[in-house]
Amino acid sequence: MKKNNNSHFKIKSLNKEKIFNKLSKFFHIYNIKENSDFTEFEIDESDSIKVEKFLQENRTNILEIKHNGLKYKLFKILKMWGIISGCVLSLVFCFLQNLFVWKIDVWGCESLNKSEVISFVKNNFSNIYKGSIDTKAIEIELKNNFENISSVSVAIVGQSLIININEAVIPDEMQGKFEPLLSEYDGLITSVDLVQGTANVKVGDIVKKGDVLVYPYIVDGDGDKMPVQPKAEIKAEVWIKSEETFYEYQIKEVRTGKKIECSSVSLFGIEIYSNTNNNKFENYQMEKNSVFLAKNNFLPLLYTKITFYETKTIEIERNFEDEKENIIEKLRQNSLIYLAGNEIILSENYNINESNGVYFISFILTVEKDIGEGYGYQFPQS
Amino acid sequence: MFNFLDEIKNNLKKIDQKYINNYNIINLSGKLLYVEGHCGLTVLTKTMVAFKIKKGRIIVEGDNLFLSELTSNTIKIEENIKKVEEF
Repeated sequence: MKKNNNSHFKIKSLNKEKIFNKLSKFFHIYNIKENSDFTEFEIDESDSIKVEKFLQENRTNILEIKHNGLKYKLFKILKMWGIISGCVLSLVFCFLQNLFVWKIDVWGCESLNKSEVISFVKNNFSNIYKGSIDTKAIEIELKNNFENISSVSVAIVGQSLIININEAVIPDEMQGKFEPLLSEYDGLITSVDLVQGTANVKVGDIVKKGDVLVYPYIVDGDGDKMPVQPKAEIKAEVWIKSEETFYEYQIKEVRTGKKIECSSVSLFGIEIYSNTNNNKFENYQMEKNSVFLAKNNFLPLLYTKITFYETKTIEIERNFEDEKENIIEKLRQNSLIYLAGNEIILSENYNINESNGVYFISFILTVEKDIGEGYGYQFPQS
Repeated sequence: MFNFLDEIKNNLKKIDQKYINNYNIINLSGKLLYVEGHCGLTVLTKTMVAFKIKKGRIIVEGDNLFLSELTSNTIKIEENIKKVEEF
């Protein structure tokens, strides 16, 4: 029995045996089943039209014809006009959208802004129809309008316009704003290794912070100044100084620990609550803090707290010799903070000047530093 | 090709060959009845299938009978075959 590609018939006939006898002379008949109201059978799908015609000629009542099998299903799909029209429309849409460029991709941008290139192309070449896009013209326009582009190639790939950019490499000496190389510290120049530019200092010179070490130009054979990026390695003895004043006799005002607190809440400058305590202290320090109770501006309630600290005056007498070592060590540590890891300490000195029980102590650390290494720049002002 | 029925017929030497060439029926455990040499259906119901042969008629009785195949000279009857009679 063939299960694939068959046709299932339901018929109603008074003389079905005669019909089947006639049919069996020409066709293979399968699964003939007798039911109370009808008779059903199957035949090869290829014979279905002939069988149907035969049954009609023999005045047989055909109740139902069902077709099964891949061939019939394919045929059925072909008759589904919705799907066919959908497929056709999709193909047409694919074909139409394939005619246009929908996306611009920029490759090879490092310093150049991609969006700048894309907007330039969009503004100057608004036509998105592939046939009218002149890639050569885009290449020329991009090269003319962007200084940083050394070479550019434009190609249409699928629905994308690919812009492949080779950025121009500007030599180091041509880069930058040509600022002079300045000294970062006060110091005595110990070595000058000039790479590029015109040196303004020599070994043995004393420079201050901010002095010009190397000018950003070179003078050619004709005496013309040609701007360059100044480069040099300049070393100097730099003095790092820390100072402190020591009083053998001192009068100080210190807090006793007693305090009185007052608080108030105000709205738009009008006091709506206050908790005021009378300040009974003869000598005191006052601290005032104000904060808004809520962060919104609808109800700007301002909470103000005033604290009075009682103070007293005390006399302090100290012996310098007892604390001398500690002060010098403290100043040394303060100086070492400014030392970078690879710098060499050349010497350490301290000076003490005394006047009427007041001692002025200064600690000087002499180190060798690169004071003008690198490119010309403005160092942060301390 | 080897034909099992022809081989059996050749063994029946005592009987004249012309008398055993009318029809062949094979009953497979009462579940399938294969018929060769029928001359047309005469009755087709769920309980009875009858068909003509050269010199007579054969009636097959059973339950839920159906013809799984029908050609010009063969029939396959399936389901519960209870009785096969020649008239």
